[in-house]
Amino acid sequence: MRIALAAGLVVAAALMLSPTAHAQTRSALQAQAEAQAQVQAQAQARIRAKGEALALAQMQNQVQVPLPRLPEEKCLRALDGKCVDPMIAEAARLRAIIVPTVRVSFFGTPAGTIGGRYIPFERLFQDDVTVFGLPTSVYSLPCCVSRSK
Amino acid sequence: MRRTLSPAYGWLSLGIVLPFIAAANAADMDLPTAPKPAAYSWTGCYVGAQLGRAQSRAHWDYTTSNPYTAFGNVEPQKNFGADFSQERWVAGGQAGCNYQLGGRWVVGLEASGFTNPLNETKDNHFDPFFNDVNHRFNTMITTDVLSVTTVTGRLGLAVAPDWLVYGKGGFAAGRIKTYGALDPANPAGLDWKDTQWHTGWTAGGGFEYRLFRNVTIGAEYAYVRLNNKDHVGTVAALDTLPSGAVVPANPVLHGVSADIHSVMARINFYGLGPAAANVGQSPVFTGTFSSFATSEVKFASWTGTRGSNVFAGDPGKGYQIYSPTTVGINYDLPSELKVEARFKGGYVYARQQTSGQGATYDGPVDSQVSLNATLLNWESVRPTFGVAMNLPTGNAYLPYNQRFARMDTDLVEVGAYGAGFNVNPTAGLVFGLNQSTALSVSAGYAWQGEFTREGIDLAPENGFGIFDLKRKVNPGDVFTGNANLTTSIGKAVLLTSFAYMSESQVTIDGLATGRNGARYISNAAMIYQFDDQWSATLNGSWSYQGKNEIPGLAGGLVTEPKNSNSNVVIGSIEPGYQVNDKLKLAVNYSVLWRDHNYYDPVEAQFVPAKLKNSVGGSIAYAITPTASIEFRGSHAWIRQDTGPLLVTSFIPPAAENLPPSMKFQAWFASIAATGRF
Repeated sequence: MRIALAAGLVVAAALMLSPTAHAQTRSALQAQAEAQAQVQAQAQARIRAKGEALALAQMQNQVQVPLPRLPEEKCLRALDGKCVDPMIAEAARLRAIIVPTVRVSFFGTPAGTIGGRYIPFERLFQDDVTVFGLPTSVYSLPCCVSRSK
Repeated sequence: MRRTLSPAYGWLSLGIVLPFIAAANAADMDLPTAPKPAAYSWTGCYVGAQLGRAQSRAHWDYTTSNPYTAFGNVEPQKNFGADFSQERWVAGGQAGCNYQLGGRWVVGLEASGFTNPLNETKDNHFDPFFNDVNHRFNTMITTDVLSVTTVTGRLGLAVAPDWLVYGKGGFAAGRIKTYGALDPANPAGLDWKDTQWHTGWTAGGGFEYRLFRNVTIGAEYAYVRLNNKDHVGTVAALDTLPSGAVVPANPVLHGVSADIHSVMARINFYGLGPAAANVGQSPVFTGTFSSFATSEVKFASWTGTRGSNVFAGDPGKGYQIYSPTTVGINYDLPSELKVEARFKGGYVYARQQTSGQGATYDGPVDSQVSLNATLLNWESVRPTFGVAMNLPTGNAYLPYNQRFARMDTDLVEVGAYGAGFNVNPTAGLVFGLNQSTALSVSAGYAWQGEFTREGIDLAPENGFGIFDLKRKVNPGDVFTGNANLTTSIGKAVLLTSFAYMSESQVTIDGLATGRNGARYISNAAMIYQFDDQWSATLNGSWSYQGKNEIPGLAGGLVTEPKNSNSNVVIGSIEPGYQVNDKLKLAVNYSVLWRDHNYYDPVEAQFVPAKLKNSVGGSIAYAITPTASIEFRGSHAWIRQDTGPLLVTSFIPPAAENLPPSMKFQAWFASIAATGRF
């Protein structure tokens, strides 16, 4: 069962990531296939957004006993009317939250970090001498220019 | 042959596909909310965090004639005590267990603690050298309640299925540091310090509301009494008795007691013991809740050559232990609303070990809270808005040599331990461009509150050059506008951001001291998935800043003639390998480069060009489907160019580049544990 489920996931992911999918002629069959792929992609994206543990458990259960129908979630529509990959939309949303609050404190925002975990994006703002001025910094005393920052 | 995914550990594989998401929004994934019977129980053990305000008072009783109460060992006391009072933000944590009796009564035992409810310095109004009109001194005394710990019994009543009202009482202990120093500093040997544990009692009450599954939120009031205990401030000075005999001066013997009133917001995660039962669907919250908690311990150690301010020739060195905790709650109402609340607080022990600059900071850092909501009602756009705040639970004022406990943020994790109360509202919109591309735009405005920072006292009559002034720093406000584009192309996911920041002027003690130029910041990250096991993450950031405004000769601020700001570039690459469903290994290389000397007109000094190279690795392990642990380590090499050529002597004339070129090496190690609830 696990192998089958994983294979389903992999197929869905491959369909979602396929760069040639949109170049195909929209024959009825292809349109149907594309619609199916889109459903699968949405399912895959929902899996990623909601957590695979839940999704896989649900898929397992669907084979055995019917579960209560989950409420339909509205997708974010792109300019061409298609649903945007939820993972991509979520990443854009997170950045919209994180970036304008990086200066709220010198630790970055409680929402998270971007730009890498070793030298994060927030490091760019720690050159702010007003908040981060090192002990060797001396206001209006140009004799002591020995900060190591 | 593709590997299969274990349902139990599938979420770890998600981290391979999108490490950015995992890093940016740690543990934000929802967990299942399976419908359960409406039976409820408060039986179980829990851990949690708390944040709130504390109003504290401390009292000293001088019990002997001493250098802080009288002149000489035999003179009658002129001062008999001192009082301290302060209100400030505090943060802490708690752990405990409940047992629900047959009916609605609940009994429990809890250990809790919070840090630094009082840290006040005041003038003792006594000059031990009052006869010397040319050298007036003040005896400055400080009470620092470093931490408060309680162990209490709880008696509660489950007034409704999800509501628990309780009272608590029991044992309390507090670690109190007292110290005194003459102002201005002098070598008379009259400075002292002493730290003691105080015992006492506590009583209070509060309520808990089961927000979802095994997560509760609540509020609590508590009173803590820390009993009187003698502190002995031994001084090195000597006194001369009327008989002519020279004897050690009396120590500053003083009894200290403290009273603390606190009102705290709390969150508890049940489930360490018999799990508290899930309740049925809340009539108020019809959506889905999820939460996470991440606790980390980060260690950094560095050594390197130092500049001309080092009083001894041996290499500079220092280390820091920083332990932050982040707690998050998500609420999802499908197709309508997503709400995210975050709290982050931490504790730091920083030790500067360079000769002549020895200093320690041992205490909390500032805490941050944020609340963000995203509307999901529309299909064409997703509006998001929220507010983030910095709560000054840490300390920004580090007088005398303690200021050296602030270390370079390229050498340690945290470079400063406190700032002001900041409020930063934000608003944004998310659009879809095509099936695999999204665009977001947002803006924020940070009102940055005033804070107190130590400053140098240049008055010759006060000793010249003593870092004990209290400067009121207003760092100004910051407007940020930004745009973000995210897309997937084949096996790659690309995430980009561009931000513009405009800052208002900085004032120190009410005087405008400068205004930073506008910043233009860009970032791009790419995650490439080679196959099921191998992936790589690349990151790049670049910052450009326009001309500053500096104090003009005729008063006011003028634009500097030449841009003194430096470009800063950060880059990193991190290949990763998924060993199995539970284990992931990764290595990384990162670089930070500042391209030229940067003259800071506000602080009147140069920030030299710098190159930092760092190599490291990480191990992530999923202990259970809802708990993971990660080890990280790295080594960094930092090279800093010389500063500008400055005149160091007029007679004979001499000049040298200050600071000289410096080299540093640093080690970083961290362990992070994340649990989802």
